[in-house]
Amino acid sequence: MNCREHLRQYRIIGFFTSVKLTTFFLLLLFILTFWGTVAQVHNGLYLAQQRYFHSFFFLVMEFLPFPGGQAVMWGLFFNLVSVALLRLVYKWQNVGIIIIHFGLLLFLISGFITHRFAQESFLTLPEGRASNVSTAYHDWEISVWKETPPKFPLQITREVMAVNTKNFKTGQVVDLNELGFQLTVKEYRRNCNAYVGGAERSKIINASGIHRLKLMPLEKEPQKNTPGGVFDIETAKGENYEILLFGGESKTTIVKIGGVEYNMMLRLARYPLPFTLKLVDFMMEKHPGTDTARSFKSLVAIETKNVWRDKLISMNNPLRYKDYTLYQSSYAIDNMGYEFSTLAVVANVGRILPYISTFVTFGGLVIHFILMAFTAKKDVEPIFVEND
Amino acid sequence: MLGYSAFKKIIMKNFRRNRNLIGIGLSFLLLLTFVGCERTPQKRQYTEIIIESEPPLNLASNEDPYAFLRGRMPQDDIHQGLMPQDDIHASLNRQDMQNMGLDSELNKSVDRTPLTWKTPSGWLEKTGSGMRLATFVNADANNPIEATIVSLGGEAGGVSANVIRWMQQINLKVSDSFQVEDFIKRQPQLKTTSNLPAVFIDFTELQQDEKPGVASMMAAVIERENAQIFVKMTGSKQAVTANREIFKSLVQSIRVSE
Repeated sequence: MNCREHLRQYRIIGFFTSVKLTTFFLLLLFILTFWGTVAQVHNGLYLAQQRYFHSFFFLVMEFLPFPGGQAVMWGLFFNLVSVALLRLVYKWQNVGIIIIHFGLLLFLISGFITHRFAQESFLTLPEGRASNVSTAYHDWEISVWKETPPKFPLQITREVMAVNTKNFKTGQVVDLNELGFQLTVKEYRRNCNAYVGGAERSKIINASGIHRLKLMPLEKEPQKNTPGGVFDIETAKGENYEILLFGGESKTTIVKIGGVEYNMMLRLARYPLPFTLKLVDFMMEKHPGTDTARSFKSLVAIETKNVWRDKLISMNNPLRYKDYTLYQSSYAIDNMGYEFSTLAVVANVGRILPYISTFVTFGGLVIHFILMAFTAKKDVEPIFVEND
Repeated sequence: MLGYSAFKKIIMKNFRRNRNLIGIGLSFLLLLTFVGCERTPQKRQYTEIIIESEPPLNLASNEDPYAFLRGRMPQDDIHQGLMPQDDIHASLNRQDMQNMGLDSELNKSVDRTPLTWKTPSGWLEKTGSGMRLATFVNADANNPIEATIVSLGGEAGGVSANVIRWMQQINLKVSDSFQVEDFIKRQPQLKTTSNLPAVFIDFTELQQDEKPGVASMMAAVIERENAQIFVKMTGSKQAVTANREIFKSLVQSIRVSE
């Protein structure tokens, strides 16, 4: 008795490798996909994704647990792996089915890689402006940079040291040795209101005159939360400064440490891009007689290795560069007529995996049908070993 | 009906038989729980570059180049229907709140009555876009300015609200004690060549202690029946001061083409 045969004796293995379980998971996946898609209408994309696809379980009507996308897909993954290890018959006659099986596994692996490693952000530019960083939707960071004179009259270049605020706790110390000081979190509010005034804490440094933060309950939609915090700065020479940073500020707080001016800001995290992107022209067509946009597109120039090239980004016509895909997302026109275009930026190392999975599965189907057509019925090998 | 003891017996039997497998499963779940947990704040270093193509680079050194994003979350499917941070309290964002209403009011009320004007010599007129009827730039690379003409129907938010909004655009702090009406009253009144009354607002008056390179503005509001014409000049304090009289001549040259 070999190892596969030995393991198949166990009832629990039989349960994990049953086709009924596969069907059950596929049915759940169908329900979740339908449910999650419909829910987007009322809850928006983010909340629907979190509830139906990124969760292990969620409560229906606040009391009934229902498996979420993660649980179902992990279950399906283990089911397919177990079948591949223990029940699939590896013979040439079954090569099509084996390829389809591994194609489906590749789909699940690519889903996992996208979920874990894909980074979504956006880039909003007015016409004529170029930038090399995109902005996070929900993650915040404390950005610190030295003030340096511009090299070119129309260009701002900042060497930014950024600290992600995701795991900030009171009393936490962040070493910024590169800048010659350390930052201690005195208080950090993930959602708060800011108040100006308050002479009792006048030693606090803040560019907007804010001296007090009031904790607010966290909103379900993370982009509605505005964080703020009070931080102690301590230099190697023992100098101490107390600063307050609030996510709603448009000015940076400047602290002079050892003769050097540091700009500090609590802002949505910036992600450096491997290129510089300039919005050359934003174009919009309206439905006749209305202010409703019928279509809008952005003519951009992308700079890589000191070479600029133009590209038109429109709906269903994104810009792709290495692991990055930039989609036309939205636009704005300010009260002085300046046009802004917003591009959704998705960085995904596993971008081509779904395509590979599709080709593998499709190839498996083709091979299987060809083999079926040319194999006499009496010669057909069983695809799976029956559970004992 | 399966009794409790029989149920327990089956569970224990299966547990003993499959304990290695259960152990592996639990270990894997434990591993999954901890995968990706970031316990310490993550530090990153990156170079941020922002390039403007047209003068003036209307950006103070400590100003966030993405400030325009605040209160203007992208209205894509993720953020659809979400209002900007709307309850930041006190005097901090009270003006922003007013401006948000003002923005939508302005966007709805573009006045398309044909206007004519005389482009000052040395200035270059560019085709208007969006709400702008015209955009002008000068040819002085050392003191670049940009001027715009926008015509809006109705009150367009009123002169006071616009003055406060413009002050914020050039980083002038609007304190609680600031009397905007008094400031407007102090400003010179003009008449255009077609005899329309205009108020000329010189923000450099509020920037006397500032450096010459700080972002500044001059503006004029020409009052018409049921419409307001807004003429704005932006640039450094030094540049707008140098172009004050030229800008004034542009304002005075504006006529309504009947």
